[in-house]
Amino acid sequence: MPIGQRLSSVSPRYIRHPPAASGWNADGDALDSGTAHIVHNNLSHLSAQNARLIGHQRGPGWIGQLVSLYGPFAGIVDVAPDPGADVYGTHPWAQPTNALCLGPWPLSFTRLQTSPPGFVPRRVRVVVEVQKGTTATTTLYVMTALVLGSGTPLQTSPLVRSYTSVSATGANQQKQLHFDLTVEAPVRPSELWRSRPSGTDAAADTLVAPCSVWVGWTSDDAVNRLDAVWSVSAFELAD
Amino acid sequence: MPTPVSQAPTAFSLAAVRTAQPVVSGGLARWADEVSFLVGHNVHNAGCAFIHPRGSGRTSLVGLTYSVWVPYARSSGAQVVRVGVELHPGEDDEAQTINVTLPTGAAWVDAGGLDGSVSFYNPPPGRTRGEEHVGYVDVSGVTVGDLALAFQVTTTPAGSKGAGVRAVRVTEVPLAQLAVDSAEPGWDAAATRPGRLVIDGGASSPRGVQRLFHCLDAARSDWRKHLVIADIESADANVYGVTPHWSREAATYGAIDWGYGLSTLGTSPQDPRWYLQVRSIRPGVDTAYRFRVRYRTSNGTTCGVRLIAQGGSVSGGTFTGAGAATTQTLSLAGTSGAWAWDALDVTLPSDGTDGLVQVSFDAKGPGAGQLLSLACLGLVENEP
Repeated sequence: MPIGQRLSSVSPRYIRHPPAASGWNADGDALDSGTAHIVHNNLSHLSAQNARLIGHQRGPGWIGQLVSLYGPFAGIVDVAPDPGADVYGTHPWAQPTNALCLGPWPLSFTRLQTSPPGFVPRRVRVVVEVQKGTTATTTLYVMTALVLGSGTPLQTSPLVRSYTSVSATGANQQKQLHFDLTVEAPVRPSELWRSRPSGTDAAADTLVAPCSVWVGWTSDDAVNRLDAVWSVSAFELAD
Repeated sequence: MPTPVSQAPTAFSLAAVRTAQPVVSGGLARWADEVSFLVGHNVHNAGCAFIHPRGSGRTSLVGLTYSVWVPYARSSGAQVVRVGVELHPGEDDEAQTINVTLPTGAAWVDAGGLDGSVSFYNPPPGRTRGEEHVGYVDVSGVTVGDLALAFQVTTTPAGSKGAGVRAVRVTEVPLAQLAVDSAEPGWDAAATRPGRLVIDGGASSPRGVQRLFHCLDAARSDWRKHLVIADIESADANVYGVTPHWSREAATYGAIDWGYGLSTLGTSPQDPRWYLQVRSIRPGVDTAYRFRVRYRTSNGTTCGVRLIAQGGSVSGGTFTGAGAATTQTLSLAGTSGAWAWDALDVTLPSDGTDGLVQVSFDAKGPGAGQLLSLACLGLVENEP
């Protein structure tokens, strides 16, 4: 659930107030509760709405793999596919023709959760525009994962992941596949990033939780290669 | 004293402010905490560019000198930007220098070799982890609200063999503390402790209620979503179908050639569309953005690019529009072979479910044998 109550749950909005330096609040004056309500509402509303866009990319276009999901691991020297693993473990995340990484960006923890208790990051939506071609009995797989840092899902434990597949139906299918990635557990900041040119006024480094979105795709239409990935969009969702 | 910056908003119930009762200092302290989160932690993500290898028949990235642009508008609190550059895998002797040209007012804190001083070898193929080089940039001198700025990352191959840049990532770094300084939207948290007199303070004072209003409004009007769709710009002047750039030849509005090529059966590609969620500051009011384009025309003919936007929802693998799509046209003056920026103030619709908007682009080229080339299409929020 989002943090910070707003004046309206039906149509929450920002309420403009007089500009700073207008001199309307003299020193020593008491603040009225109406003004306080409005400012609290505005703060909560901006916290909910200031959700960042993570990345927007052109997809690779036409895709397709040879023989099986394991073929693309040819040439990868520091990891081998695990035939017993799920689609994440058998996907060649290292190949630029099969995956891309958006981020890292520092997480903001705008949702409060009670089980397990703690602050959790904004939800992330990924929309992947694809085409599933007409080649019979073939399938297009699209998978997403949210990871701390920028390592591939082969090397890091994803915070959350999701995948789907589209099977051939005999007609071209243009799809907007969307994945809402919701982290269900608190995330601990893990990296120190430089945040000031010097540390004379305040700390020069900030401990952040950098996160990346991985999007992977593969198709077993190795003959005609009529499946395609056109675009990838990823953004934080407002609460 | 500096104010600690929270990585999360503060919980608050409006019932704690009782109507017709005096406002207690605890409420003001919550304002200070919340402002520090909004302007100190929840800063801009300018975006990233992922550079795909060129398709068959196109000019290869290997050995090509090219740039990648990422438009950037500073948020009022940010002091430092992190620039990450990932390299394509390459062969043993493939190397290049990477030179990041900074926006006006910015300076390196730690270039990490991204100032052109280091020749980076491409990582060997077959590794699962990419090789990313990171630099940190002091942006405290960058004007907040300047929407004409961008980072330019230029790769120059050594001995004409570098495989080039695979990805560029630009993001502001959250602060650990807000300094008590009128030059940044800091707030002295001690001023809201119990027993302190509520003072006016003015907008530039780090203490006083009006300073809080100033900081709060900065989190509205100086906070901007960045949508960046970026590829490369180079001096390559090859014609349609060979050029490494996104392009349009025909002198009518139509599909941009995004470099997909045709399928093995000769099928034309689909026009890509992208999705974002716009802010709902005032429900029902369209959101203002600045539409920026980096382009080149091969001759002096005026060309154009159009932004097509539609609010809607996506469910079950299908986008459904809420209303009619709007088309906004940016006319591009002929540049006769030079790369240039142009921009247009546009709006994105507010009628999508939870603010969801689909955007796409088409373009008008200079005509047969000539080319409009595109290196970057960017949308930067411009809340008035």
